[in-house]
Amino acid sequence: MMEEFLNIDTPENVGFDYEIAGIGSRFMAAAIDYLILGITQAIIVLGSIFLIIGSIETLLEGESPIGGIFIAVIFVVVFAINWGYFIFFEITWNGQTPGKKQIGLRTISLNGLPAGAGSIVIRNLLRTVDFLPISYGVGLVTMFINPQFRRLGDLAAGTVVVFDQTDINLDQVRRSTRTRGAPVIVSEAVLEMPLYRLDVRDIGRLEGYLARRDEMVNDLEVAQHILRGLYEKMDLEWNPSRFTMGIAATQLQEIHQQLTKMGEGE
Amino acid sequence: MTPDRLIRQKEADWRLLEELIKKANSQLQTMTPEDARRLGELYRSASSDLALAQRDFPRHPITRYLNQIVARSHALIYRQEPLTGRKILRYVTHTFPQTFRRSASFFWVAMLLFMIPGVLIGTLTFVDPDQARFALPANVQQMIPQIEDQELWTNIPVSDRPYASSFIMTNNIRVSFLAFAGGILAGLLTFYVMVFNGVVIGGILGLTYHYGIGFGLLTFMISHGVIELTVIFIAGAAGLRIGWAMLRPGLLSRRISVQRAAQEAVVLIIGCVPLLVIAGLIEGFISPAEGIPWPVKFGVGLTTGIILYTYLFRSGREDKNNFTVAKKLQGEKSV
Repeated sequence: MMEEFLNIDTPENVGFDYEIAGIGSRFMAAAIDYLILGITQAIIVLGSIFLIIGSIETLLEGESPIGGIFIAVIFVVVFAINWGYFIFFEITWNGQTPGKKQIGLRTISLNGLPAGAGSIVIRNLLRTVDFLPISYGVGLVTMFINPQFRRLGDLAAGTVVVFDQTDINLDQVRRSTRTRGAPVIVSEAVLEMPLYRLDVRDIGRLEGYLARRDEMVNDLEVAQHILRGLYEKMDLEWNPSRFTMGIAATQLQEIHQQLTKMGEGE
Repeated sequence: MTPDRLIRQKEADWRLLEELIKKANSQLQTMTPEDARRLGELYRSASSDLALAQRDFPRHPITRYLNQIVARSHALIYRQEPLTGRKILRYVTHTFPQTFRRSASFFWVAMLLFMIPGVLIGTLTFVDPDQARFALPANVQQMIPQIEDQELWTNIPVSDRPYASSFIMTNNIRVSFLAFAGGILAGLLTFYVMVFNGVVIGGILGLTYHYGIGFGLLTFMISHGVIELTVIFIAGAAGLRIGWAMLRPGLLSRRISVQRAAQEAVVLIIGCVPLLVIAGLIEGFISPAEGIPWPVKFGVGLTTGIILYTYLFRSGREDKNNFTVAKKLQGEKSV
């Protein structure tokens, strides 16, 4: 079974969750990272070959150790970039690499905290094994088996890759709340409804619908469905032919407005 | 409670919390103690708003928003101590050698996994060099004709020494990383790395001794070899530790057992890198130097060995004085 969310319980006894990144987005992030790695190394290697060819005669003539030192430095630099790229960025950028940042992913510890340096080294050294036999064979298999899409390195390090939590801000929330539209005139029928029979869950469903109906393709159908639920809760007779979809949506808005008024009157 | 009301009541608090999160993430130095206290307060208040929102309107966007700011401030407030110079020093003097001693049994096993096949194959190639063709891996076999001509390949020209040094260094680090990472395959890859290297080194030593150039090779290897082999064994111990945790998790679940072992093993593997850099420098500059007589090279091997093993087995032991101080404090407390 696949899990979409990683639930964290805070010491304050409140649970919140992170959306777990799937194989697709992680593949994209890795592709970007390897592209950057490849290009960087190619530039370094080609650049140094260029330099060596340019000065090959001076290097060959004397028994000068400069050529050797130069190659040695290039060698160590390429090696360090190869093994250190992911480790360096994940430690200094708090669980992100350029690829992960681009896609909006972050490596975190299973308890919801930033991954520690040790864990980051573990998961990135184990990349070699996850990469076996070719292009993440082992890693892909474990990700398919694991409900949280964790590869071997993640399992050993106790880490998980999640979507970064910066996708919605308060202004967006306000805007989507405002799409509820201008105040409507509450009809007689709604005023007479026993609205006190609705509980928080019904109200929540209503709120959720109103906040998100602009994103829905079938919002009118959903409106009918929700209104029917409310009618059943209030023991009112439900007559589908009376409620074409458009009317249902309007009436939901009226009910919401009336509820808000009641709530503020408390 | 409706979302509208919640937003109206708490919006100012949430915006302030967002500001503090941003500040703590980008410019921690400018945070005042007052800011930190405020961050904690606002975080707790946002958590309770989230709990309320989850109960009353879980599908409303405000719940997603609250989830996000609670997650971000939670990660800030409960984060671990960052990497400091003091922590690194502590790692060198205490954490690394202590972790090594906790894994000492795996270290000895890794050593035996290297030594036993090494001695066996070494004896075989020494007694019957023709067997070398079957006993040694393919890419090592191309060295056989050179050894038969009683030539050593260790005379690295001076101009190539830095290059050779860095090549050997990175190669050894790669082997250590592989031995560590191989632990996750139930230790099988670690096992293979240890045995393979034992066979290669043992086999070549035996063969060179048969042709009378063994002492030359040993002289070349001894200066850096003590550190280098010890480090390979430590990396092997790290890998075996993970593999063993997987095979015999005891009372823990396999996953937790492997996680714990990996946290210990990574302490070992990180320490291997600087040690291999030292070994690589010796191998590049001291080992191939013809001007240095063999007793000095043996002396370098012996000295580095004594220093390394003293460090591994003695450093970071519980200080007797500290112990008495702790006792004293305890005594005072109970009075």
